[in-house]
Amino acid sequence: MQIKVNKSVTTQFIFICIWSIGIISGLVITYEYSLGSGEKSQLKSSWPNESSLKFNPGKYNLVMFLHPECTCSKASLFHFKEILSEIKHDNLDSKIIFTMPKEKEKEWINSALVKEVKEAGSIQLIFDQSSEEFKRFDAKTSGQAFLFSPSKDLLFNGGITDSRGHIGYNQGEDFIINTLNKRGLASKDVDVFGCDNLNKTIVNK
Amino acid sequence: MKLPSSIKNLFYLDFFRFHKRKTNTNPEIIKIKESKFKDEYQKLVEDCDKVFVLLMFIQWAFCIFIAYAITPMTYIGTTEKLHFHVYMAIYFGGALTLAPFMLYLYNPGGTLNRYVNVICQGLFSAMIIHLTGGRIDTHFHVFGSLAFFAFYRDVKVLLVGTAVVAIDHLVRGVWFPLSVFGIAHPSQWRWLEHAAWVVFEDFFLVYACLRSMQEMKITAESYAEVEFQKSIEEEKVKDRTAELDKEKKSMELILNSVDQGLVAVDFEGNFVGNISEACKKILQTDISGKNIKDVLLDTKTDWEELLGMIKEEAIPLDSLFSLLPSELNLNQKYITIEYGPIYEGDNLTSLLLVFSDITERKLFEDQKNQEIVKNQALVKILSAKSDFMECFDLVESLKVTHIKEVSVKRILHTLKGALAYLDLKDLSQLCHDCESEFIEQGFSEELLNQCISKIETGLNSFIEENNKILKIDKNRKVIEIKLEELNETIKDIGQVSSNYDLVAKLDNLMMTNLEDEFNWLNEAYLKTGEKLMKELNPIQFVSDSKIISYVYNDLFKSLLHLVKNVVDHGIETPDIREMIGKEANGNLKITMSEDEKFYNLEFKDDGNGIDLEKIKSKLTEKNLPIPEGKNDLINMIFKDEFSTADKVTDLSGRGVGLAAIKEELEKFDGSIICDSVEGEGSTFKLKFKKFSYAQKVLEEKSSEKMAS
Repeated sequence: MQIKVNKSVTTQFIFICIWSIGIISGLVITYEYSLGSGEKSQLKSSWPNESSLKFNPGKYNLVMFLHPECTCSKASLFHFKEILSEIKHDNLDSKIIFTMPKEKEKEWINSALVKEVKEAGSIQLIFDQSSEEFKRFDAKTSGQAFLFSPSKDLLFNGGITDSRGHIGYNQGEDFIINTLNKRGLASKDVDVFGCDNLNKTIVNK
Repeated sequence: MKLPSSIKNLFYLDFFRFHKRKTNTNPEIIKIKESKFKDEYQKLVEDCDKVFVLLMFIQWAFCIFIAYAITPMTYIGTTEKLHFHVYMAIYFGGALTLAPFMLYLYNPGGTLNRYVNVICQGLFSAMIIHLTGGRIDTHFHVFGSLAFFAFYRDVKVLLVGTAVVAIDHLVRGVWFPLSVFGIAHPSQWRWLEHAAWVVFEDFFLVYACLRSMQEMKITAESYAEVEFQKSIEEEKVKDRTAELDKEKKSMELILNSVDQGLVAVDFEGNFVGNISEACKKILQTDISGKNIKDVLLDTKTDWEELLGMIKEEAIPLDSLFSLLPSELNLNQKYITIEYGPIYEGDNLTSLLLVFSDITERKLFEDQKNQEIVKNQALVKILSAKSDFMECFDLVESLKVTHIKEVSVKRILHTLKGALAYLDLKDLSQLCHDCESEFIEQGFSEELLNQCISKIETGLNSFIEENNKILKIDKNRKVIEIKLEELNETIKDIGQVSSNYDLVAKLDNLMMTNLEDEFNWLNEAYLKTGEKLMKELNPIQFVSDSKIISYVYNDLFKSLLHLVKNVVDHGIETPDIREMIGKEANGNLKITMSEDEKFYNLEFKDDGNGIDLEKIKSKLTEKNLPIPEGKNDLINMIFKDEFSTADKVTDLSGRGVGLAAIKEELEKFDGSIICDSVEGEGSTFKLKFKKFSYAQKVLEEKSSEKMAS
């Protein structure tokens, strides 16, 4: 029996199949990228002793390391400010440290993120020209946040967004607000999403 | 409780009315309708595909733009590179644009296209929502896209689009809720909420699609009905055109079959419409598209002005037509032209010209005219024989030795006049030429001899040419006419009756005295008397008139019956005549007189008259009514087969003789009556119309024609 094949439909079907594979693979890549977290800090227990950053004793210390040009970190800053607004007491010291290599200082010093932090006012803004503090805290990914208890114990290590650049509910912010408002001492590690703060060569060193 | 109609109407949508409407069941109309609907829908989806391809390109560019604007770069320390979102916008946007574009190029309006377009549009919505970080505002893109899907007027497309949006929201809501809802932990039914809004919009769009499709079907049906009607009309027109073509061909055949060339000209003088073959043949050129002035080469007629007047019908058309040329000589052809108006309704649209080639007729007429001229001259000569003979005498007198110049000129002039009188125009012209030569060259014997020779030759040639009719004796003193040949000549002349002068001359030529003509009748009268032992004096003729016996030949022959009757029944025997105191010899007197139109011929004898009693007894015998008046009773003798004779003899008694005379007289609008006095004699009065010799000859000619 001879089966008649409609060439037009067959060709179109083949084309659509190839195209569908392309679309699906693209979706997978997007999914993996968007939900792919950055490298998390290996800081384990307490405020690094060698840090030149001033720990404010008697207060909770919330520190976030940002890359000035990381667009994903705009969401992290949004949630950082949200945490500050949600805290019902003033027993919190907040710092945001921007990596600011000398060669990039002119370009990055007025980035949107830096400006936003400056405009917030209540946040202590620190520029790390040598990236030493980044290394000490092992803050490899922009948006890396730490919460220390008044006794310098590390309570939180991770990011305050649930994916790259997306504002919205996330476990990090929820944990920090709860901990601070309840003045608790529980600890938590979550994933962090953002650009790499340091060059690979620096990280390897 | 009844609801007011206005409230009821709220729930009564047009869409449902469309479904209820009756559709045309004519299979032809359904076929056209379906075909039209299919074509129109195909155009629609092709247009929609085009719109979607353009939209895809715009959205692709938009995605790249917003990806670069929101997340331009990503960093690894100080090293910067394009953000993944930008690559995603380029790659995904490209892929989502490529498929609709390729399908449009490959198969515009294909069924698969619209489903792929819908899927791609849904994915574009997903990408834009993702690139904007799940902003709730960008969800409007979904609703806008749904409106675009409705362009296809296909409910299935809307459903696929809705499914794409719902699945996207479901899948991403489970694995990547931030990218679609902007929050990390939405409700597990959040996707359903979004899908429900889409379904809400679908409700209206589905209604719009169904209604639009119904409207398209109605439009297609209306179109089909019009087309169907048009096809019927076209069929009619086609049939009518075929009929007209047939009629046209038939008309062309008719036109080409007649010898006359028929053609129309417009009021600018251009030949228009069909031109018959005869037309081309007569005018010896193809006149299509030409102007009448250029074809007829007629410079005398102001065609422009006359055609303008004809167009305006300023004066009666017949008067205008008389101003146009009716005959022309073109390329050695004689052509007559007749004109007629061509009307369309009440409007005079063009002028009909009928060309006839009369070349042969014309040449024949010319030849005939020449013969007529010649024959007229001949007849004239016959009527003036002495004048013609004198011409010979005049020529002879020119031959006298040492004749004086003055005498020559005088004789020559006289001769010229005589020849002109005899209608011998060529010979008269010859004399005139000789006169001119004498004036120009001076008188000489040599020139005189030349002239004499020319004139003699001319005269001899004329006689030679007409030797059938004219016979001239050697001394040129007597001229004879051969009558039969003359009659043939007159028949040839034909129109001779219109030449009164000539007719009169010919009649004079042919007329004779009654006495001479009735010699034979006199002899027959006397012989009959001898046979019946009756003594008779010769007939006494009394007449001042002459008559052409040739014309009345048959009538005269029939008079023999009358004469025999007179002798047999009228004239008594000599003894009886003497006894009653009459002369022994019987007498018959024939008197002829004439007025302008009629001849009156009277036969008066001195016999015993007609016996009226005998007529009465014969009528009684034949059971016929007896007339009361005397004259009416007498005239019974002219009735066919009525005779008063007791017995039939070789001379009379059959009752046909007098009836035959009456019959002959009727041919000349004539009559016969008889007056009789018993014992004194009878008088027969005959009256008959005058006929010219030519009339009689032509009458014979027409009788011959009728017989043939």
